[in-house]
Amino acid sequence: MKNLLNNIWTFIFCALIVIPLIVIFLLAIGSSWNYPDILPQQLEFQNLIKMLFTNSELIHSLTQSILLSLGTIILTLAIAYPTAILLAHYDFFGKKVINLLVYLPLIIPSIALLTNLDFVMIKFSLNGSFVGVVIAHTLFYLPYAIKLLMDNFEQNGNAFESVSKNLGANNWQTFWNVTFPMSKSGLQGAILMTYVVSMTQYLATLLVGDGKFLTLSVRMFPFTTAGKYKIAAIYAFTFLIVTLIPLFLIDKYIIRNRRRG
Amino acid sequence: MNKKVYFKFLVLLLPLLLLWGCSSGQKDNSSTMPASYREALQNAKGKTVTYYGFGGNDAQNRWVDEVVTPMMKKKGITVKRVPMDIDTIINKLTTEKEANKQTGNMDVLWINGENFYNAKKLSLLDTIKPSLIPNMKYMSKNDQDTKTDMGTKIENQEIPYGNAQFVLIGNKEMFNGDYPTSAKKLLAWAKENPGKLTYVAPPDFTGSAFVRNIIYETVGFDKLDKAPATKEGIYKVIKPALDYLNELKPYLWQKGQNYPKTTAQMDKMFADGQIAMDFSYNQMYVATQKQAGLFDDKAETFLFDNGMIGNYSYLAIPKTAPNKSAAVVLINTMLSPEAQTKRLDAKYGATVSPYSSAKMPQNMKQKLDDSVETNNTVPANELAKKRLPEVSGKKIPIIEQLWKEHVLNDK
Repeated sequence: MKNLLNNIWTFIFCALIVIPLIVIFLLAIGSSWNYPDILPQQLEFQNLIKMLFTNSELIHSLTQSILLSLGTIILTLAIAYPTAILLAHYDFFGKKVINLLVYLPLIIPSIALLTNLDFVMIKFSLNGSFVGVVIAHTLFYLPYAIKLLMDNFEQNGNAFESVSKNLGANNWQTFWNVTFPMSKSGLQGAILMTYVVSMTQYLATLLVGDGKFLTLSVRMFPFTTAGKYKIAAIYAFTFLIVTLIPLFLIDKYIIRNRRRG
Repeated sequence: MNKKVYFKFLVLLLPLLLLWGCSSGQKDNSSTMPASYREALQNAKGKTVTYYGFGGNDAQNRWVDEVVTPMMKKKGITVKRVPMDIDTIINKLTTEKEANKQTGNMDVLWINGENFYNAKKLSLLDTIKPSLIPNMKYMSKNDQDTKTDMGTKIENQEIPYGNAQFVLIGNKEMFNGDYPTSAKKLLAWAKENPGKLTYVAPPDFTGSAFVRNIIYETVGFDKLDKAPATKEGIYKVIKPALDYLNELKPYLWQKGQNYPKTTAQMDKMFADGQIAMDFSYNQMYVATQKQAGLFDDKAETFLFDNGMIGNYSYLAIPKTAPNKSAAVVLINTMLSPEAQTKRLDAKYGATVSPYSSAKMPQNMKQKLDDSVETNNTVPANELAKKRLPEVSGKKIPIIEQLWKEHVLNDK
């Protein structure tokens, strides 16, 4: 009985995730989908294929999206990694406050934060530059990355590092041979999270980027607000693919790793 | 030890170096307004000009990419189209002004109405002398929309770009070819055929225009224009229109309990024959929808006898534009008869030019008249005759709010 109930719950959850995906896919390939038909009356793949392979805008936006997220991942980790170690392993005055402050970028309404960030970027002549957009993006993903890495460090504890140092390893050796390998799963989580959220970021790219960085989401957004669902769906579909493939690869890699370990 | 400190210092300096590398300042005469169009052409050669505007209209995007961009290329100028909604644009320009930035990134903006009012109030826009845009000769100084934009005096801060007028679209079979050409007739028809009419709920742009057109029908433009821009003032004036809409409500689709949320939804209901009437803020909408395979020959455009709301969209150059010469060339090119005539094609969104109907070149006029035959649109001179101005942008949100309180929430 309990099993059946569990199955029903699983089914409902799957449906909640899968049905919108199916709708996006049908919107992208269907034509003449009119009330009261439940399914589109005609399917045409040419449109989707044409958009995917011949649309230079799409390919250009895709490159921009990926370059920006790579830059963001590097900067986010550079800041989040030491911060997470600090918060997990060290005690200092004001730790609790900093622990809370980490979430600030998620608490402040993003439009207020971004307008002022834009102001600062203009002052530093960073607006419209790659570095500027990466910094703006990083601000929003730091909370996720820090939290994910911190949990990982707290779980591992720092006893291993003490052992390593006790056995005569210096700081660098301890870091590369003990701390870093042990934090791999936290790192992977942080990278994935940053990648996914960075791909979807719209306002920061547009505002701080001065419209110079036409990423996938920047191109997609106006179509959804204008009710051009077909075009938006094709963008969304591309979006899904480029976000899911790395996710799948990294996930597979982690699982394989765990089995080995 | 000393070495280590030195190294740390260098590492700390690195980000500053990066910052310095990004802010390479360059100055030439392209960021000032040219004295003449010829000078603009000379200065602009080899430059890149950016066009910032709403990017959700793929037909308009196509027009810029396939018609305007190649024309500019011939003049040696590269066009970069940036999809950015006007709210974000104004937001950015304001921030730039606050930060005291002299040169920004936007050269040409697509703007109108309330956003223009805000931009002008904050003096974000540069003045464009009419002599700089030779193609303005096709426009008339006497047309209302070349003088004011939704009640705001233009004073050369923007240049007309496109002409939009609200039109009604009827299903020929359901109306039997006898269209309700006034609000009174519309109500009578609804009572005979309940459930066959509806309108997009404001604050949707088009639905809001429909409500304003009903206000014009019931109380007239002048009264609304003179009413103070306060909630009480407007409510007092438009009360008869709200009463009208409430009287119409029970005869609407789903007895007026629900309204379509987007024009796309309403278009679909119209195409499926669920409702008899659709409307659009584009005179040639039937042509574009037919081209897209959504409407068929049953769809016909008609107008209220007392007139329909119309407005222009405009192009402007912000004060911080980095390339004002190229911006001037882009505006003139967009307004050329060649570009504007192509713009009438359904695949480019069928936007009517801001030319005065008396000064329109022959082939453009021909194209508009042909569309009357093939796409059941309304001829240009009739549209011009039955044209009513927009009210001030400040009043529009108030009207939308009043509609919500007194019509939508009225049980």
